[in-house]
Amino acid sequence: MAASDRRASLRTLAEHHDPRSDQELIAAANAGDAGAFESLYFRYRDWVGGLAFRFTGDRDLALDVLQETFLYFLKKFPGFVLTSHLKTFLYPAVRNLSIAARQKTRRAQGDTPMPETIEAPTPSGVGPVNEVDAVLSTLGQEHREVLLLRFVEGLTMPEIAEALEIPVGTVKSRIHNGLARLRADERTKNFFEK
Amino acid sequence: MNDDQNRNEQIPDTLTEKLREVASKTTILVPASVDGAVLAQAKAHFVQISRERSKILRISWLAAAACVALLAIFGIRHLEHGRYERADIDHSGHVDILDAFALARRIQQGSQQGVDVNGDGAVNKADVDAIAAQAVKLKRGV
Repeated sequence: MAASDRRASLRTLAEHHDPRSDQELIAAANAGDAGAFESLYFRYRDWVGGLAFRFTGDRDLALDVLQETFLYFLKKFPGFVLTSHLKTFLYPAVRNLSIAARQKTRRAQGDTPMPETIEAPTPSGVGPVNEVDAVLSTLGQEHREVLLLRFVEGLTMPEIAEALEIPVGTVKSRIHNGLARLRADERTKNFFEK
Repeated sequence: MNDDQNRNEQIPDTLTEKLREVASKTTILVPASVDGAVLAQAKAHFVQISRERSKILRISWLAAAACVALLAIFGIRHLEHGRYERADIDHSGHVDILDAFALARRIQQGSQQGVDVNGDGAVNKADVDAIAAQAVKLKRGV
């Protein structure tokens, strides 16, 4: 993307900084405040886009999924009730829309439709960014996702379970297995040594 | 969550930073055209919601106004009916010109017993006239 687009994107984010909490913005949007929805869009746009890219492996598809996700979210107003972190609501929407988008693309290309659980291809042109990434690539995507949701996104285990629609026990197991792999690998075990 | 579980899920800050780098490698920049498309649909959606709410509000106000009007009409008729029931001075069971005469006699005699038929706060000739007018109206069947 051109540098000017990058600057425009960052400028837009800065212009839309809103100090209200997600709950306050949702209440305002339920009351008909379009600006509140706009604030929510900019607050979660990049996260949704990155997640969609992780799932689709294609930037254009990811942008389509991003739009569809927010349109899906938009139609919940008025009357949307936030029961936990907004990411737990958005995550399955992004995942399911990404799977649908990939299936649609494969059908259009004449390929056999894939099962819903096949993991996303590696985003084109993107290799491991560090040693941790290299080790995590030996794990299934489900382990990587759980680790990222827990330690980068800061979701609790129940929130991760809700987002991924899996039991909390499975979340704990994947975190444990993921960390165990990092501890055991020569490239990353030093992170755990004092 | 107990302390053991808490300890199990703690990781060093250096590892957290590495995981952040992993997450950021899939960051994509969203072009302004995509922002515009989403926000345009959002604007249209909220305009539609606002229109529907205004419509519901207008209907509610109309319904409320109709109820108030009905209550007012009913209340006035009830009040009038109550007043004219009290205008049956001679307790004959109906209001007629004889009640007007009876009230006129009382007023002439300086009696304070009467009925403020017209609701002006006083019992006087005006009330006599009101009873007479009502008696004529009732006779006509109006």
